Amino acid sequence: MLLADSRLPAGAHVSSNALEAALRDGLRRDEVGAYLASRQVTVTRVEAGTAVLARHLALTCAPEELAPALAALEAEWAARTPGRAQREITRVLGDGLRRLADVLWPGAIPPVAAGAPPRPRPVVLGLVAAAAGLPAPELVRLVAYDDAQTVVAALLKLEPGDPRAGAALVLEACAAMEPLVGPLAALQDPVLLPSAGAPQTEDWAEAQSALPRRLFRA
Amino acid sequence: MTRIAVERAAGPVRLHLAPGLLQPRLVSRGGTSAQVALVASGATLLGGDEVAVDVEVGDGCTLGIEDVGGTVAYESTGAPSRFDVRIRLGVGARLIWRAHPFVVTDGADVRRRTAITLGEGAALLLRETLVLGRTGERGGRLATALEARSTSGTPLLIEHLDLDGASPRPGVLGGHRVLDTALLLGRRPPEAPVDPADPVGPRVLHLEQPGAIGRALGASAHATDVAAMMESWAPAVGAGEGGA
Repeated sequence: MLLADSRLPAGAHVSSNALEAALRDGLRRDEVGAYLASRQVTVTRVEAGTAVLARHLALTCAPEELAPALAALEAEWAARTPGRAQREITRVLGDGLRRLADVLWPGAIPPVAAGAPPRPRPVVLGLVAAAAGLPAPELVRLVAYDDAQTVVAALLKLEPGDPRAGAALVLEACAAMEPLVGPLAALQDPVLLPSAGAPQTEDWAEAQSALPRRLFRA
Repeated sequence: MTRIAVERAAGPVRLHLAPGLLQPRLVSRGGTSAQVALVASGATLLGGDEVAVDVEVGDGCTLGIEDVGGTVAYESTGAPSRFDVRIRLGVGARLIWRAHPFVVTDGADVRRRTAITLGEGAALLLRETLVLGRTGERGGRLATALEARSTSGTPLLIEHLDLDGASPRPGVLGGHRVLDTALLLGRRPPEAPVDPADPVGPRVLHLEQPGAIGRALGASAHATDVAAMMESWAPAVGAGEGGA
C-alpha cells in the first residue's frame, strides 16, 4: 500500500510517463485510455518483469551472488529500453526509491559497483518487495497501478478534468495488465525477460526530456 | 535457406553463396571485403512461406549487402509466413545491409526474427523499413523479434514488436504506417549537430551498449530521412574508422 502511494517521498511526481510530450504531439484526451493500455502491455510489462526478476533473485541468490546477478538483470532491462532518456529517468526514480528503502528496509538494496549507474526503479522495487514480503503477482499489479496512476495524475495537471474519470482510466489500465500477471509473476530467468517495444512511446519519452517549458521532467 | 558467408583467404576473401527464396549475387570483392546483392526471386511472401537468410562475416572482413527490390507479404491463408535472418559477425567484422522496405499487406500475418551475434570489435549497420499496407491499405499483422548479443552473451538490443494495421495503438505506432529504422551496433554514432529550428527527422535512441537506433515514424516510406542517417553513420562502421 505504502509503495503504491504517489505521496511517498521518492520523487515520482516529476514524471508524466511522457504524457506531456504525447499531448503536444497530438495525442487526444480521448486516446489517453488507449495509451495507458498500450503502455501496460509494452513498457510497463518490461518494468513489471524486471521487478519480478529482482525480487526472485533477492529471494534465491546467495548473498555474494546477488550483486552480479542484479547487474546481469539490469543489462537485460537496459537492452529492452532503447532510449537513453528513458533509462536515465528510470535510474533517477530508482535512486529516489533506494534512498527511502535504505531507511525503511536497511540492507535490502545492495550497493552498486563503483562507477556503475544507480539501479533502475523496477529493480529497487523488486528488492523492496522481497524484503517486505510482497508476493510476485501483487508486485506486477503494483507496477501496473503505479504506471497508470503516474499518467493520470499528470493528465489532471496538464488538462484538468473530472478526477473520477481519471480513476476510471486507472482501473481500465490495470485490467489490461491482468492477463499478463500470471506469466510475469512466474519469471525466474533474466534472459527470458519479455521485450515489447512501443516505438511511439519511446519517441515521446526522448522528446519529453528535451521539451521546452515543460511541467514534467519525464 | 539463403546463405552468405565471407572469410579471409590468401588473396581475395572467400565467399560462400547459397540461394534460397532470396538469391545472393556477388557484386565485387577485395582482400578483406565483399559486396553482395540480394535478389528476391518472386519478391513475395505468401501465407506459410518461410524465408531464411544466414549471414556470416568472418574475422576482420567487411560485407555490404544491397537488396534488389523490397519484399511484399500477402494475405495469409491461415498459416503465418516467416522471415528469419541470422547474422554472425566475427572479431572486428563489419556488415552494412541496406535493406529495402518490407510491406505487410491487408490480411497478411508475418513473423520476423532477426538474431544477431557480434564478435569483439565488430560493427553492424542495418536498415529496416517496416510498412503496414500498400497505398490505401491499413496493413496486416507483423510480429518482429530482434535479439542482438555479443559473443559473450551481453545483451545489446532485444526488441519485440507486435503490430497490427487493423488495430493501431497509440504509443506503439499510433496512426503511422511506416516504421523506418537504421540500427547501429558495436559503435557509437557520430554526434549530429541538433538544429532546434528543424526538429523533424529521425529520432536517435542511444543504446546502453555502444550502438543506436535512428528511427522515424511516418505515413510513407519515402518521407523519412533514415536513408540519409544511415549514410551519415556508415563511416563509423567502415574499414579503418570509428575504432573498435
